Amino acid sequence: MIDDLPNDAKSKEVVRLWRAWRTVHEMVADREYELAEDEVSISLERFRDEYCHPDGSVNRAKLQFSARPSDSMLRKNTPPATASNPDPVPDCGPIWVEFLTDKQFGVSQIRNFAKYTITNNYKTGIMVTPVALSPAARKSLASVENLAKIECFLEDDLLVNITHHELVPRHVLLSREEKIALLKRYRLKETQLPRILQKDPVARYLGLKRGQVVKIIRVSETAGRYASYRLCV
Amino acid sequence: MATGQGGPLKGILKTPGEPSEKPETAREVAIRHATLLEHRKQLESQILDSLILLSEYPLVRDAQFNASNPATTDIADFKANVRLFQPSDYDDLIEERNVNELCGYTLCAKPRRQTGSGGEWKITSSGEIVKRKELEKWCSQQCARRALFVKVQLNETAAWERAGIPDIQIDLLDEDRSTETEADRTARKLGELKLEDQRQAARDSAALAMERGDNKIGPSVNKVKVTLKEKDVKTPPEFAQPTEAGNSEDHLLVDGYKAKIPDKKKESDV
Ligand SMILES: [Zn+2]
Repeated sequence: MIDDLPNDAKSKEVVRLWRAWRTVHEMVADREYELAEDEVSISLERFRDEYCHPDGSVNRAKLQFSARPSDSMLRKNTPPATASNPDPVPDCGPIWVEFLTDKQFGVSQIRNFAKYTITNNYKTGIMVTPVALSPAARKSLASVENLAKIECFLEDDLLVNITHHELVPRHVLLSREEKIALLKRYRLKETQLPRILQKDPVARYLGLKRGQVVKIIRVSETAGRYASYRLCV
Repeated sequence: MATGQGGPLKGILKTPGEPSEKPETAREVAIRHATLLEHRKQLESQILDSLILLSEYPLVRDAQFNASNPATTDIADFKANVRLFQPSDYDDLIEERNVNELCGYTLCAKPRRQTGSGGEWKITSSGEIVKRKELEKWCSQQCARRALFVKVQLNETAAWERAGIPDIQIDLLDEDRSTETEADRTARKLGELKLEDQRQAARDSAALAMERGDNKIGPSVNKVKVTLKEKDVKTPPEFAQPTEAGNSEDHLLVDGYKAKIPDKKKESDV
């Protein structure tokens, strides 16, 4: 019985990381990167087979993947053509996701991750860490902002997918054209829209950038479905 | 209702005046704010660079130097780089050094203390109970004191709001003052006092300047003279406040007055 205990702790850790692994895949798929269905909904058995050492502990070094944006995502993230910019390029690109194994995260760990992301031409890098970053490390993220978007998630924050909670309404990112059409229809300036903070959990989940607009679709028993819009600030 | 008097009727509406801010002025204000913001961003990144630099100090790691006697070049670098820090930045520096497994005090090359595994609290040799995390920030208690000695000298005012405040001079805990005579010491203490006064005055005027929006960094704009006049406020008559907290009749008071209904005789009195 006593011999089982370490194994029990190990299998708890496997389940934990399997859930974080699934959530991060769902997140990447919800942002409309290309991912196969069986990659997103991986079963615990398969996760154990593919990502665990023979002794039953998780091989974190294998917990990494990349994905490319789908056509629809590219379209959404392309600014409308103008006279000065007749052939605009989308401002999104391939994404790199990695579960890091360090015990602590300071500036040097962040820099290594950012360097890897940038030199391999990824536009977005998501690092999943077991512990929080040091304050200086968090501040240093801003300095690479224009080269790549580095996002950090705690393993603990990914154990459940918050967007699957019934009280979290559906958030849909509007394309640039849809945003312009919305502002035109209601004769609004974008600053007149209600706001959503970039650090809002759902905004972080969708990787919203400043200036993007999300449509929030709520279902109400009395009013049916209704939509509201928020500008990311 | 006509008054019968001649003369054109005057509208009661105010004549629409000129817009209070001309577009040029608005643009200038926007530019000034952008400049301020840019200045602040620059300082913030400068502080972060200093922090990252200091998180790997000391550079000179000879056997002859230690935390109480660091190399002079390292002392100079430390003093120059920590100058702009607020106490919170300094805390971030300590944390960053700890991530690098170094003692939290910048001029100490030793690794930080590891107290092994165990609970959140730890009993020190002197019998005190302290947080383990607090203990593991340093290599020794002396370094904790040295670091704190620097921290209390840092300026609470953010670097970008320090316009006009003279630069602070950081002293180290173990700096040699043994050769100093009594007269020297008195002079230094006096100088420090005076400096503190000047700093306070500068802080006040800088805060005022900040509030007014005139700042050395931004281009000066045309100022509007505004005279503020205090409005005469009549305070409403005060209600008689129940004085005693434990007054048993407090709950009967309405706006400080007690309704005058003749007391019913208590049943026990009958
Ligand atoms: Zn030390």
